[in-house]
Amino acid sequence: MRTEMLTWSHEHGWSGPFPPAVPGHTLVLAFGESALVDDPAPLDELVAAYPGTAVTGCSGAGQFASVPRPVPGQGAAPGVRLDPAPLIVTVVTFDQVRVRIVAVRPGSRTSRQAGQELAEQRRPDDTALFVLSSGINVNGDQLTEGIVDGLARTRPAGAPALPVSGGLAAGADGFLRTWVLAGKAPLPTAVAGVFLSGDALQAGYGSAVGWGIFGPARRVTRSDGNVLYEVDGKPALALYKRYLGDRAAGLPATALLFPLGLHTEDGGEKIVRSILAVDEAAQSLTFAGDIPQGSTVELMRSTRDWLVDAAGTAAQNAADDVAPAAGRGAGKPAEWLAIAVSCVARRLALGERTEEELDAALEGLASNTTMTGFYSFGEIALACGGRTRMHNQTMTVTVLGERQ
Amino acid sequence: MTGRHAAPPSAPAGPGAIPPVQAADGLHPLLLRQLARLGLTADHPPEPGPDAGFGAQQWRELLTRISVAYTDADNDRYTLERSIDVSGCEMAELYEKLRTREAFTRAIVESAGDALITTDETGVLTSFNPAAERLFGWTADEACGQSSGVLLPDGERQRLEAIVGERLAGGTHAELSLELTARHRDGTRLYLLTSVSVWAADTGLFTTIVARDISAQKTFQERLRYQAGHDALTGLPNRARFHELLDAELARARGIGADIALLFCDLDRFKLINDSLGHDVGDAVLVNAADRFRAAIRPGDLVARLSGDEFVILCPGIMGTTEARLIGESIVAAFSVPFHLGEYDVVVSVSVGVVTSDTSASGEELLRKSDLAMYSAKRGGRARVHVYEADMVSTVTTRMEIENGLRAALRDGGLLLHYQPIVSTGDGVVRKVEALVRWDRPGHGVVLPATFLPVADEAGLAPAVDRWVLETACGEAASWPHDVTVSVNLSDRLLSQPGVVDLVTGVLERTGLRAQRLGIEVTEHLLGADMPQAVGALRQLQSLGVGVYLDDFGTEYSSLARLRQLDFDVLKIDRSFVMDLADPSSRIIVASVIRMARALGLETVAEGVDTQEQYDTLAELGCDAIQGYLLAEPLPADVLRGHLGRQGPAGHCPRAAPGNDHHRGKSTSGC
Repeated sequence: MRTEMLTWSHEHGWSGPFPPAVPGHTLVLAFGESALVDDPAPLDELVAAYPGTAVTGCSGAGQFASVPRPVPGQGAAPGVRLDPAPLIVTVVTFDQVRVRIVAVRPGSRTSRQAGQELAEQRRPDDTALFVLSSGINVNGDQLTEGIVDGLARTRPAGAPALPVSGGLAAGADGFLRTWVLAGKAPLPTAVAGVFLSGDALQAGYGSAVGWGIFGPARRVTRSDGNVLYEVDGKPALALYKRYLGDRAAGLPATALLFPLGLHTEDGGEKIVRSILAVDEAAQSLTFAGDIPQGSTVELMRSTRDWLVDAAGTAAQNAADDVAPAAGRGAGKPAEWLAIAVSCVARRLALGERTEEELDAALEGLASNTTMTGFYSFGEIALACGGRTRMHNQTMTVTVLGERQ
Repeated sequence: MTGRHAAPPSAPAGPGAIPPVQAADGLHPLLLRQLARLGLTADHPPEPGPDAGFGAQQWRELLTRISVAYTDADNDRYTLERSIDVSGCEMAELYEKLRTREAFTRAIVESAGDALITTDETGVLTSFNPAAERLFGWTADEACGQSSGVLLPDGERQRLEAIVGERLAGGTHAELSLELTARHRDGTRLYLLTSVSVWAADTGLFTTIVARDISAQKTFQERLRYQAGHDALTGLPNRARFHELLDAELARARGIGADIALLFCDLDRFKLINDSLGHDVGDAVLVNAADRFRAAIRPGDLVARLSGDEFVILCPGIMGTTEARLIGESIVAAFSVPFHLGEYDVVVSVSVGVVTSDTSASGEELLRKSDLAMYSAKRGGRARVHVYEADMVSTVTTRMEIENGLRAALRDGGLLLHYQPIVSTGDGVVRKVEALVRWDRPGHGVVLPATFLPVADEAGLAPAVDRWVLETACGEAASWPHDVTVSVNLSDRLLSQPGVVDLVTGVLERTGLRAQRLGIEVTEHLLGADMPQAVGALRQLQSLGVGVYLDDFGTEYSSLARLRQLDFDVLKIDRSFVMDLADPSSRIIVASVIRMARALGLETVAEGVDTQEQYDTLAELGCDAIQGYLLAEPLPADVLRGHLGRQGPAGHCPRAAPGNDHHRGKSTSGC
């Protein structure tokens, strides 16, 4: 397995030549600004440079990559840089692991159907699925459920469940423009699935929140889809204003400090939902995921320290997840690729300290790890109830390596 | 590759997970990262000058980053403080709400009608509401702190614990309802209906018991249970209880190779007593009858009341049918003495059917066989004992078929009326006609009443037959010449029923028949059976103009004195006297009867006149009218109508062959 990275900027163009690829074994991952959807020339060049190769990627509310930092007297130390360029490309070529990309354009289908269709492309020897989806015009909850259902249906007898991770594309400017690469030109509305197959694949997954509940548990007394009107019979917006105090003026951004912890119907798990918008007239809040009426919710809060630490925990968990299998293998991978998907709300909450959570994540990984990723509208990862779900507010890390 | 997912929000990577860490070299990790970003380390102080790699710009950036970190920390603290503040307020509001609700709940608990008790994990009482104080006799202060053992006896507590353990089945909460026996402070036993809620904690079980006193219901239930097995009137075991005892006794007898006998006893004509003397007298008869049964049986025998006037005696250890029959006969004898019931002396005989257990295996079958034997005794003339024989089954089957067929006939119009003319000896004119019921029985042809009226009487159908006869006869007679009277035979039972006067007058009104043209034929039995209600009804009808005929005179325990009970209009001399007219003594009796009747102002009719000789003799003795096959057999209505108003034997009334219908017997209702 070899990993190489290059960037593209308006001023300097490509930072170097396109690394060579082996179709069927190479994965090209591109994360960049949402504005590229209007000026896709570099993306088109990238796709054209890798014919017959799995090229995927998406826009984020920030993209990042690990870049060694010079340390006086010590050469260089690992480090991550946020937004070093409008487009970051990572080219990974496996020796044995095969890479296959599947694209689904939802069109008139529901997000659930799109997810099911994607999952139904799985083959018996597939060992991992990484999904990137548009963050707009796709319901991430439904998409994820469709994928989980589809994988359960196509699961070969006796095979373990296929692990799924990934995220939803985001935009930095008003959330309105996203793009997804799925082997071809960037598309505003598409779902790309990367199936990895072969026993040599080493993969690990981890995600963490860094938010704690506080205040009493509350019942959702009025909601409609992802719009929350009332909790405990009182306007939800009033509740938020009371908690925000002086900072209520900064809504909806300031409400990112208080996401909701949502108990799923079976009561087995809690997932985090962050606020996207407020409606003063309706006294309602719009969340990045459904808030079913009758469910139980709790306010959550955090500090920047908690968030940074959680990012480290997520990475550490991913590294630990893969470690035992790698240890048993004939030869440990010589290098690792970590794909981090972090929630846009974390970036907004962390502000100046955003890079710090990326540093913390990298610190949790093995030293021979290349990391890339983006800030998303939703993270796809296993939830603590054992079911894969779409999350908000998490740092989700997928680690890939190849047994030698 | 199971994935390491987000820690659940309830156990956040929050305050507990973020200790105020210090890096190995004692600096905050944030500061270390800030230094790293600027290419610095804590161990290498920056050296000024662009060549050394650390200039004013880097210095400025470091300070800016540190300042931002301070500001962020301030902001985080603001958020934190505000959150604590606001959630503290929220918690205070909730606490207030809970306090109000708790006060409300307490008020409900204290005013509850049911006792509410809680215990802690050690079984010590922790709350005790006023209803509990009233129920158990302890005050709340006295009870709380004591073991629940003061309320529940040990055995009961262990039983409760066992049930709770089973219901919890390793869970943390269980609810159950059960009846418990508890103890009042004064030692009295309390029956409680309880709802028990149990919460399992690490330290033990917390229990809440809501209890309602059902001691009164329990006592009542026990009484009901006794009552369910006993007849309230006589105190004897009832049918259900008898079956249990019979089955048990049969099993026991079989075990020791012994036999038992059943004596099925039915009071004779009991319904008549009920109908004529009223239910109070009827009940008194039953109570006295029960006493007589008790007195008549052997020690160890058992008497039960099955229903109405049906009793059964179970005799264990019987030595064959002879012994059983003797017991039966002693019972029949015991009933020959009248019951003294206030102003009445009532004679009630009993018919007894006997069966012994060597004939059958099951109690049910034995009971049925003894019932059959009892029926046989009834049919054999009542006040006697019959032992079960195998052919009794077919007799009863026939009876059942007749009963069912008769019910259908009443419903579907299967009954007929025939009319037998009664001719005046003076002028040979028909002035009276007796209506006689027939049954056109499918598969049997026209059946005479002797076959079916006894069954009708036993099955309680006689009044219905009577009503049909009355209605039909009056309707028919209304179309006859106005000087012709119709007479009908009505059963004692119908005449004893309240409302019989209204029934007759109603029929007369509906049919338009004048009361004077209706005669009611009753038998002497009616007078002997002491039925004041029937006699009263007949008197009332007489006052309206209805004629009352004394039928079959001379067949029963004739008593001239009985003639004084009613001012009969017509006396009908029974056929048995007419048949023997050739015998001088019979002739003297008939002559005396005719003279006596004339002296009392009664018209005389001789029945069963089949020969010219009989006719001549009766005419000579002064008998007013003649009825019999010599003159006419009972005729369908349309045939009769052609002959009305004409002359008798010398006229056109058909002259049937003598003895044509001699076998037709008369029942109590006539034929």
